[in-house]
Amino acid sequence: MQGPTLPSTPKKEQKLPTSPPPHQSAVCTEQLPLTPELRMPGGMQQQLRNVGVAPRRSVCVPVPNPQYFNTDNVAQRGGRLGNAELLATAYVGRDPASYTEAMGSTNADSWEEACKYEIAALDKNKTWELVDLPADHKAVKLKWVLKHKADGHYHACLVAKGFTQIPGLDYDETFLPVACFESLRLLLALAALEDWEVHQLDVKSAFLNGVLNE
Amino acid sequence: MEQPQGFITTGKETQVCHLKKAICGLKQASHTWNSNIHAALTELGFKQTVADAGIYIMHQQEEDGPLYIILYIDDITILGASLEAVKELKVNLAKCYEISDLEEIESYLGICITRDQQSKHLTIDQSGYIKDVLVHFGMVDANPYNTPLLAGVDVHLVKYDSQASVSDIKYYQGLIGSLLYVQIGTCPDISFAVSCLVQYAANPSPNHLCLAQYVLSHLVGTIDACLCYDGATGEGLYGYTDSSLADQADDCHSTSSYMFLLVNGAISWSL
Repeated sequence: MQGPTLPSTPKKEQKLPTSPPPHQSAVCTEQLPLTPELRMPGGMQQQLRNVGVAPRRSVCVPVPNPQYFNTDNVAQRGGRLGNAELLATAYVGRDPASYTEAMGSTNADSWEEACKYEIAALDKNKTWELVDLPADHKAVKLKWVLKHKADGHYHACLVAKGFTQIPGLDYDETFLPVACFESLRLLLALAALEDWEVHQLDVKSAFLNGVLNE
Repeated sequence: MEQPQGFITTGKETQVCHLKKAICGLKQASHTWNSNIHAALTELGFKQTVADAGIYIMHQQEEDGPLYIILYIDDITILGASLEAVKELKVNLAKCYEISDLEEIESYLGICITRDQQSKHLTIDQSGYIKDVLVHFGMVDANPYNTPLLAGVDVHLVKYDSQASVSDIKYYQGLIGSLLYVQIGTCPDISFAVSCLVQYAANPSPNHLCLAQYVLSHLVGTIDACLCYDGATGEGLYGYTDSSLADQADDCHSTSSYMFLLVNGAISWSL
């Protein structure tokens, strides 16, 4: 069954749809007409050149957000990027990867403010108290997740590196049952029949409400 | 837990944080949240259904009828006959949690819900999600096909005797994953095609790739199709089922399928 031709059914021979080969469309973002300098975040390439070593790990390439990047426009302008696209290209993927990087960046103040806000929220919730680390124990590591939101504000979120936790010791159950689509459709059909009110709520920072026993 | 970077208390550098509440990233964070909301809802008089752990019911006085809650992590949908009861429940929940009230439901997990109170119509569609999928796979301008699968395609639905490339497998699995979500949401029409193709996700042949894109092209034509629940008809529950003995060319397995309709709209299917 290698060839793309279908079995000759008695009616007529049909060909399988010849859509564009899978990968060209899927990864079109990587074929952008960008200079290599633009692909490297924050002058990293310059530093690498100075040090004279090849990068050990794969370097994160900023990929333009498809929401702001319109390939049609680029094609019309003969492959050149407009200002908006260039801005989007430069911006997306430039969220600092760590707290240290954020504090070294140009808008360190904004990031610090965002972190302070998050810490204040955690404090208000009485999330933790300081204790001495018991012997033979390791503390779970933390990470700041820093995001630049679409509406322009700086968002900081403190997350635990849960992958260092040990099952059975640090945690038991992790499941969270959710409603299935059948139930949703059944209830919506009943709502249409019985003229029910259907309202929606969203709980903010839901996970911070959980009380730990371990 | 370590002290957060940048906020280490001076003089207590060696100490660590003993967590009282869950934070994002902890393995048990989702479970503790669920126990918490479960306790809160039980306190309010709700009972979890046995069939679906995400549905809660509270039986009230006769004239009001029951209140239903659909719980999806932090997403709470309330259904009830009387507006007062729904509002009261919202006030009660606001006492326990910080909530944002989205009022009348408009979308649920990417499914767009529209209502027409006069004609008692309620429609659900995923056109927004399908559009995103088509853009992602570069198939927006594809010619729509009338059927989700070709006639006489059985001979192509067999195991691939050689090994597919890693990028092919990734592409196929991504595409099938998107189709699966459309299928369980609002599109029973592609359900059979997707369930045929999903069996080859581990090692798809070039033919399988073409067929998966064929399904996507079918969606181009039916992007605006929706499921409509017509409350005015007052139709009851209808069930349809069919099966076919040893129809799979590959391993002679049989296929069975069912579909249930309520008020003229499909509510449950497996094809």
